[in-house]
Amino acid sequence: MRWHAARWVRWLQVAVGLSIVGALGFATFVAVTGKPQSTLYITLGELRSRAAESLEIARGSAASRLTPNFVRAQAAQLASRIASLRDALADAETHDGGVADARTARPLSERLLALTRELAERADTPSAARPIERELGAIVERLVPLARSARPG
Amino acid sequence: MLELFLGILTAMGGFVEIGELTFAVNAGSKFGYGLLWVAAVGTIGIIVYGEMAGRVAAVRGQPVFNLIRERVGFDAGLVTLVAAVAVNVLTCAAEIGAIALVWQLFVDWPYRAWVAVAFVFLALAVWVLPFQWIERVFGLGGLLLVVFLAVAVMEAPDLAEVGAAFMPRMPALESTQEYLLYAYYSVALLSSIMLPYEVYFYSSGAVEDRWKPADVRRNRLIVVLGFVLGSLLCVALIIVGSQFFGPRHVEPQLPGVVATSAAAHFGVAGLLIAIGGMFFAFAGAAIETALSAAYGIAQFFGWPWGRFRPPREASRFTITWLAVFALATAVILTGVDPVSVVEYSIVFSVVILPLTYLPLLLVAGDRRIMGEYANGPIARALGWLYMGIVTVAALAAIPLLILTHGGQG
Repeated sequence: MRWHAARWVRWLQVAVGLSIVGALGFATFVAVTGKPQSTLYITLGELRSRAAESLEIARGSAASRLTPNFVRAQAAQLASRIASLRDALADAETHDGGVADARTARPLSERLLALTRELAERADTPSAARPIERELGAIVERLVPLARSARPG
Repeated sequence: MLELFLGILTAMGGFVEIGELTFAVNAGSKFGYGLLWVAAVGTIGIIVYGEMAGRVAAVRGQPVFNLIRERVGFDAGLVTLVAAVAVNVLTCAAEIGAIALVWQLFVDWPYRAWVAVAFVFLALAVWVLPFQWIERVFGLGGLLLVVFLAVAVMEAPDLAEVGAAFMPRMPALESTQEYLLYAYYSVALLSSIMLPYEVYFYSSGAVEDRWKPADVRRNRLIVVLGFVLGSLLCVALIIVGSQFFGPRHVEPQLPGVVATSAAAHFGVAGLLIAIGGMFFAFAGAAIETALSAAYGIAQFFGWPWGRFRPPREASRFTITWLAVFALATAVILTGVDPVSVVEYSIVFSVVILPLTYLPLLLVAGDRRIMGEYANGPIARALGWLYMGIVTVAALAAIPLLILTHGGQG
């Protein structure tokens, strides 16, 4: 039985190894020979989600159901991710296929970042979250159709 | 009886970690109830192999990596060991990063400072607490996540629809890319429920607790009830993702965002309970992964191991789990996003599942070794069925990771 177990485990290791090598080979082949596929839709989907998350934090802060420190820290954690997405959109404006979508989304990402940082700075004042909440709601409404239309298929 | 009750509760409370939290909520947000059947499939799978691991440990006194070395030999076993330790370090790193993110929500110190504090805290916890207390403190603390069961109930899901979703089915999606993403989430969710470290830790824990053949029945009850109750938390998280986050266009990456669903229903108390539960769940998982890596290495090379031994008697084992904590902390201190680490740790976990489970299945089914405690017809049939499932998942995992741009779409 020991011999059987060793042989089967070796077969499994080889099969798993081949699937990894095959997948990496396929990805490399597509990257080298194929038309580069735009991944802007991923960035837009993430931006929409981060905007909706900031909106949830603003809503919770305005309703005093989140602690000030939670609002400050959570908004700061979100802000660093939004900043990365903003940079990715700036890059997409020059390098990616969906230039028009990137041009529309980048100013929204700038505003989203500013509002999220403001949310963090004014975390001690729940009433300050109300106007931020309204503006974040408007940004989410604009990003939802943009992210949806950018999806392939 | 009290031991049994505590065992069931700690198995339940220790069921969720950062990978399962992230993938379950996102699965619900992206696909509604469409992946609930994967939770059911994964739960039966972890019950089947968890029960086998506990039974073999109780009857033979042998944990998983001892069996791997004995059954498949040094060379093939070493490949499995290296892969398993690498995945454990990655998972431990993700948990440490998640602990730091959660602590920031209480006290706004810099993230890297919290990562360093988490390392010290975890190392001290393992050093100071006896094995049973490690299981109980973090397992029972993780039960605070039951708040998400309450959130799921408050969201008033359509129970007929939820029930129907436990039957495997292919949803109608818009594009090939969406189907690939669905397949990726199926594999990732299955992996997050059947994480291999859970079996390593459980079987090593049975040896630590000096289980005997008389404990086989207790093992079965703990595994079945503990994991079924634990999977209820996973189901609740999928429902919360579907009912709360999906309609709000949120696909949460950060643990704090997930906690806002508890705050929406139960205010600040709900928020604090959710974050507290996350801390215990993540810390418990970090400890289990670090100890699992050390258990695996010590068992494979035949070193003295176990928390029941003083550190001086099991010095190489002690140095190993400390080194795993240190390495995992170093990974997170490089600035890598813990959420990305979670993605990779979960996907690579499924890759090593069949390599770990096959020797266990063969030993648990061998009457010459296990005698009257060998697998019966049901355990044998389910064991081979799940060997097929995890093998397919292992072969598909990396291609799906690449084709979906790291699970993003």
